[in-house]
Amino acid sequence: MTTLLRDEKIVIAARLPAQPLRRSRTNLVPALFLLPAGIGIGTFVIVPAVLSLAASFFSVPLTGGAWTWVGLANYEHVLTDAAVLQAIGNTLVYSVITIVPSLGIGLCLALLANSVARGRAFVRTALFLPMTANLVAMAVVFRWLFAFQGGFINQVLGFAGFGAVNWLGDTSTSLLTLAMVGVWRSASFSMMIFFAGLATVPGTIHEATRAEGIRGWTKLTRITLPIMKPTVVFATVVAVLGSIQVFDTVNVMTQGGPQGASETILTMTWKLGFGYFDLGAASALSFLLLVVLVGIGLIQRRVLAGGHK
Amino acid sequence: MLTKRLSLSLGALAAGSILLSGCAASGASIPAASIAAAANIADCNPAENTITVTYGQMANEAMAIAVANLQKTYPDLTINATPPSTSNYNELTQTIVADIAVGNRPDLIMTGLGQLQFWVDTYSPSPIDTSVLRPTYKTQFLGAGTVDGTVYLATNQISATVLLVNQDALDSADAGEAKDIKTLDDLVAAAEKVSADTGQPSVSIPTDGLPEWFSQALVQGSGETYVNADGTAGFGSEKAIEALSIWPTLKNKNLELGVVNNQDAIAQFIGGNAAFLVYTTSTIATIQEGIGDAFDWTPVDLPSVGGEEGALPAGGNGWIVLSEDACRAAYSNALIAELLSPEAVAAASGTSYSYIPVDTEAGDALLASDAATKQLTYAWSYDKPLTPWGGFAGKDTMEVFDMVRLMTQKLQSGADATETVNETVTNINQIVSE
Amino acid sequence: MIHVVRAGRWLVITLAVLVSLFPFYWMLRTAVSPADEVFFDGISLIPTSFDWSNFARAWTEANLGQAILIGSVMTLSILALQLITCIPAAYVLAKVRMRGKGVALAIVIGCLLVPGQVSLIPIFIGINSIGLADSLPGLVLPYMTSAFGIFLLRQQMMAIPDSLMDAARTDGLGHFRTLRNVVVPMAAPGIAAFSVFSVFTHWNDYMWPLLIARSPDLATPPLALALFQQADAGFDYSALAAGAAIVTAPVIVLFLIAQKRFVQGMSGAEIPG
Repeated sequence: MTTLLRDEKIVIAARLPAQPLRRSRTNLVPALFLLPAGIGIGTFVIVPAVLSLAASFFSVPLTGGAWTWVGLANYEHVLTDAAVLQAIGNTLVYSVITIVPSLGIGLCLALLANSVARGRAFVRTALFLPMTANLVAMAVVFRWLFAFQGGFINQVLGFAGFGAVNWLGDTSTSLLTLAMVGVWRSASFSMMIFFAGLATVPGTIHEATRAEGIRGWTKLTRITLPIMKPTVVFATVVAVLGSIQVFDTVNVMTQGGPQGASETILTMTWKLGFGYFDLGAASALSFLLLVVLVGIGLIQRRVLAGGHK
Repeated sequence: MLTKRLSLSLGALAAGSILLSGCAASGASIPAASIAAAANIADCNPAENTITVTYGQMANEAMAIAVANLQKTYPDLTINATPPSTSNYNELTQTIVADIAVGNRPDLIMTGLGQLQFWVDTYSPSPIDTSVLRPTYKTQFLGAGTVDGTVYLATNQISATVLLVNQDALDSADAGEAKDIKTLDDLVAAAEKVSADTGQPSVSIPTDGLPEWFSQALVQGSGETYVNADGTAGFGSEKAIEALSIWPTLKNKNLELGVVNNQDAIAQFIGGNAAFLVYTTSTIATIQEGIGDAFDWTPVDLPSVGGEEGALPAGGNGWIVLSEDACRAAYSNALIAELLSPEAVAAASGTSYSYIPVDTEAGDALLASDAATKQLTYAWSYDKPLTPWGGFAGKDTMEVFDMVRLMTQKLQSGADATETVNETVTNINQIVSE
Repeated sequence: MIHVVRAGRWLVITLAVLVSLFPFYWMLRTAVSPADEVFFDGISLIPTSFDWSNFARAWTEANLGQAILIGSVMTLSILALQLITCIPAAYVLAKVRMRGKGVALAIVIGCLLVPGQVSLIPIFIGINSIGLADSLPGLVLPYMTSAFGIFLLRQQMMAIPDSLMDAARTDGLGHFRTLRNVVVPMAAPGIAAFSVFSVFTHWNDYMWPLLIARSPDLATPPLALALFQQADAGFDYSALAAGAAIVTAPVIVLFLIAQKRFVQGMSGAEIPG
């Protein structure tokens, strides 16, 4: 954790051009500004997370019984359990097939929606809407759309001459179906972030590039994206976190099935903790996930910080 | 403004520090719970007692009646009976376990019958005082609430696995009468005719919601053992595997719809896509409402290997007394008596949920009512003996059920029955013996 | 050439809009159809017959009025707390030089990475211990602040030119007034975006309410809907879709209202020179 902190400082320092910051006469007011958030984060994120970390070295049956020290046994258990390994694999696959499309489609749509003059408000609203979807509510619609018999999507496929696909009921397609719903939703969110980012690009830049005759792809990769870098970082972080921590769609659409084909790390954590009442194993798995997430966070910053030089 | 914010935050901090003590407390207090046998209720003062009841939504109507009646007898007794927002047995159990973990142990709980062993093994409930039950209560169903000769659960809303058949689809395919389907081979033969007629798969045995129950019914209905007396898996016998191979058999002949989700499967039956559905007697009422008079359909006994008529596992729910106090246990038993009164049973098994009535008076009244269609009559007059549902060694109940779900889903997708079942038996026994 | 590009652009946009909207359309389309049509005929793209009673059935049977009330109070309380805690913190992290800031920022980013489920169980035990289970404060309190919100707002506030901050200081504005008069208006798009995000997240949250809200009176919209699905309408797709539409409507309306401000705010964020 200390390396992370030190690293953060360096990375943050590297990312920001040296800016004169507001110098505070005393640190009292800023400290008071940080206090409420600090208390909230301390109480509801850090303390519980530390408790969970501690619990991962114990056997903690939710059904009662004392905590007993088991060392690394919980870690050994989750890393050798076939169902858990399957969930880890699924999460990786899900992340790969959702992160890149979400970001790519999101950026592309943000640029397109930004560039149209007529109907801009409508287009933007329409493209933002998936973000508002209540997944419990939408799951009903998606289950019905993807229904094997009589589902609209299979009807369309049938019309086009393809055979029906058992989207949610087949081991080879259930994760893919969840990923499609995931992209539907998260691309909309990415787009919203990019859209906000595009608005921060100063108008003078547009004028300048127009005067220089820089346009299209060159303008995007050489001018717009570098200016939007905080936005790009942010959108990427959000997309990565969202994908790796996918939970709701799985829970409401497939419950991880069939045959565990759509079980993810978080649904598995939930199952270990609240299904099997084994808090120790659940904590161990969520800590492994946390280590991976921190690792991704570090790599991502290294790469981005390196590219900046 | 700022102070308000601060006090709120400090409150939150206090919450954080209590986490530690909370964990420690939950660790220490539960296992030692000494269970009180019910006291003589006459020795207890109702004004000094509050009983807490946790149950699922499906008992709402019956609970209202039972609470009102008990309070007529004991006007000073306080009864806290609010259902959690669920009617899913797994979620209900999770809720109650979480409650107990933080020190709010209810006095009386509803549980799915499949989880009886879990409660008995983990929380040492108090035996049911069967003397409070009315003479009209059908004690034959108490078998589903009995562990090692002791009644720990008073069965209330019970149901059996059933095959629902779309008779119109059979007629159209010239596939005979639903009532003649006795064996699993009969089912396959009828399904082949219907599928040949429609060009579509015609059977649905969903595997997501209740796979452990359906598979237990298939095995026990064929006269085989599902769970051994020592809590290990007993369904590895040749005949049990034959019963379970109904899934791959149907799949390999392209007769099974491949729908995993229970509700989607019901929708396929109501919509006429599935001519055969394996489901529960308790949903007959809802399915009847959905179908209306769109087609003629009928529930028949679950077919079995060779037409055996082994006792099926009872589905549904019942009441367990978790009180740690003798007087509260006594009042809990008194509430159970009210929950099982003819009036309450009629509400619990009526036309919203077609559970099998556990009271003869209630059953007769329902059967005599105008609501008694031939489908509901099947549910309300179900009179065969039922065994407990599940029964694997208790603490691992959830994990074992997940293994069975995995097995049935593999079978549903056409996996080899012998190999899949044997593998599952081995895995379950490994977990149970740990 | 330009025409081809323009046509291609519109084609992509049209397709994207269709894909975005179709599930919502399908929800409404199912919601207005008679239940037996949905079951027996399979439904067509365009509705031919209408049955508005689905909405009434969902509204009363799932008790959606109460759920929407609870959901609104919960969501807005969370939002208010989060804005109060996140905005000042983000301001300090973005625009004030003080010792230990780097550590604070690293902690915020670290917390972003902690999956909510990790801390769920300890929080659950804590909330129960102080007697807040099955209460509105119990639903709200764990979300009193948001690492995500602090991070998002800090990113936005970073973009405020330091010349403006200097001007504020020259004018003798303290931290409170700088925050109120300069930073908050400049960071409005970020605040709007975060508010929208927070409202959606908590309106739609399923897990925490499922653990904490025991009595049906406290059921949030997703809980009420899930319960309706389990109890009464598991395969009554019309009523379920109607319920889903009712639950989705408030957030969409809110979004449409907020979006105007959001766009205004964004144009305001275009920083000259």
